[in-house]
Amino acid sequence: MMALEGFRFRRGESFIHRSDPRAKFLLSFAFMAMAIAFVKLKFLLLILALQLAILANGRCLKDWIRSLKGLVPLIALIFAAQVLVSWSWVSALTYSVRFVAVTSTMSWFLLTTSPDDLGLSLEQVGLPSDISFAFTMAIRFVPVISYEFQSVYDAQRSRGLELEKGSFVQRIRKYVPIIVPVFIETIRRTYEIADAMEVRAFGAKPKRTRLNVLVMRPSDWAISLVAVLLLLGTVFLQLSNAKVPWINA
Amino acid sequence: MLPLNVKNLTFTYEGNDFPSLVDVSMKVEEGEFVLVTGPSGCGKSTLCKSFVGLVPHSYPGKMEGDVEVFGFSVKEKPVSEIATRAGLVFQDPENQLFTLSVENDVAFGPENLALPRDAIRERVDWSIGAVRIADLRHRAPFELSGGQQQRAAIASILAMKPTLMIFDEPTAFLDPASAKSLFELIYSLKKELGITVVLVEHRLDMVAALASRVVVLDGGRVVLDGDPREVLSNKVLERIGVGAPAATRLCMRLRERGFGLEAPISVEEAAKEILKVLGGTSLGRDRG
Repeated sequence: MMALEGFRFRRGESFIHRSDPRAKFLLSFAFMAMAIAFVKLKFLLLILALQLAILANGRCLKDWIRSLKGLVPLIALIFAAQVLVSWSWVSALTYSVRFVAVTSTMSWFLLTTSPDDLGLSLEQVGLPSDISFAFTMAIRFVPVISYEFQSVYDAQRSRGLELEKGSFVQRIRKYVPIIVPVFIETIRRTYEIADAMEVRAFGAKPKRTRLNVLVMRPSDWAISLVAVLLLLGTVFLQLSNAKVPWINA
Repeated sequence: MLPLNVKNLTFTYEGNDFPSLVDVSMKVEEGEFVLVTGPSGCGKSTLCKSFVGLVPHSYPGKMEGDVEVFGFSVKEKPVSEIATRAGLVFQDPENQLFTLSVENDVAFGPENLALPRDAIRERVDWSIGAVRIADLRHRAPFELSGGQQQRAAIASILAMKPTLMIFDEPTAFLDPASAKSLFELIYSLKKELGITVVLVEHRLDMVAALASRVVVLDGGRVVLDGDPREVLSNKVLERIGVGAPAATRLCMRLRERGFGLEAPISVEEAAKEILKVLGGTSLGRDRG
C-alpha cells in the first residue's frame, strides 16, 4: 500500500496544483515518452531533476519519497537483473533511474491533480459523464474500501484467524474470510450510493451542466506547447537516428 | 395538496415471502414534523424509500396500494422528478458524498437537473449556508467529521429545493453530541424554510419534543399514530421494544403509583409535572 501513497492527491495551492489537468497530462506524457525513448544516464537524471522541481513546487516531495520507499524492492530487482545481464554498473544505474523517472511522471501528475478535476477534464475532452463519474467515484471510494478491508482484517484476526502461518496457497486461502465480507459490504454500499444518486436526480437530463468548468490559462497553453514540442522532438530523434549529445549520443 | 399520502401500502421485496410493509396508511400535512419510529426491521427504511419512489422503481417487488407525493403517485413519476419535491437523507453520510469536495457534492443534484451555472452556484451557496458549513466548502468528505458529513449530505438534498424532507435515521452513525446538534439543525430548517419533515429515529429522548406527531411501526404495520404525548405514553411501546423517552417513562411510573401526572415528552416538562405534584416548590435552577 505504501507505494500507492505517492499517487494520492492532496489539495494544494501551488502553481502546479492550479495548472490545468490536460496540460499537466501532456507534460507528464512527454516526460514518460522521453524517459522510455532515451536510455542515457545523464539525460534521465535531467528528466528526474525536472520532475523533482515540479514535485517541490507542489510541496509533495515527501509523498514522492514515501512512494519511492515502497518501490525499493522493484528498483533493487531491476538493478540486480541489469548487473547480472550486462555486468555494467552504469547500465544497472541507468535502468533503475529510468524506472524511477517513469513512475514519477504518474506520481506528480496524480499528486497534484484532484480526481474531481481529472474527471471534469475527461468530460471536457469528450468522454461521457457516466464514465468520467465512475472514474472519480472509484478514486473517492478507494480509501473507504481499504479502511473496510483493514477493519474486517482486524476483526477476523481478533477471532483467531492466523494469516502468517502455512504455505503460500494456504495463506491465500485464509484471505477468503476477509475478502468475502468486504465484497458483500461493498455491494451493499453500491446500492446505497446508487439510491443517494437517484434522489439527487442522476440521469434526469441527457446532458448535465457543471458548476465548475476548467479553463486553460495562458500558462496552461505554455505548458502544453512545451510538452508538444518535447514529444515532437522525441519522435523526430527516434525516426531520424540523429545523435544529439546529452540525449542519445 | 398533501405532501404525503400513503394509501393502504403493502410491499414485498422480490425474493421475500413476507411483506415488509402491510396495509400502511398515513397522511402528512404541510408544515408537520412527523416522527416515525419502531423496532429494527419494522419497515421504516422501506417506507422512507417509498416516499421518494425508490420503492418500487429501484427495488423490484410486489406493491399494492399507493404513495402520493404532492398529489402525484410515485408509481407514475420517475425518482428524479420526485426528487425536486421530496428529498431523502440516508443513514450513512459516507455513501451520500461521491465527489472530493463539499461544493461539488452539493452541486451534484442541480447539475443533474441541468441548471445554468449561476443557478447552481446560487443553490450551493444557499444550501451550505443553511446547514452552516460554508467554511467547509472545499474540504473532501474524508476530512470531515461524521456530523459535518451528514450536514453536507443534507445540504446536497436541500440544493434540490424540496418542500418535503425525509430523514432516515440520520444520526445512526453519529455520537450523541453530534446527533443532538443535527436534530437542532433539522428543527431550525423546518422553522426557517417552512418545509415539512418526516424523521425516522430511534433516539426518542432527543427528538420527541420536536415532533408534532409520532407514528409507530411494528412488523410493517402502523400500530400507533397521533399526538406525541399520547403515543409515547402508550403501553404498547414497551411491548414492541421501543424505548419511550426516560422522562415520559418516569412520569408514567409515578402515575401508576397514584400521582396525578400528565405524560411529558421532555425533561423540562417532566420537571414541571413533578414540581406540580410536589406542591409548587421550585428547583434551585429556577430561582437562580
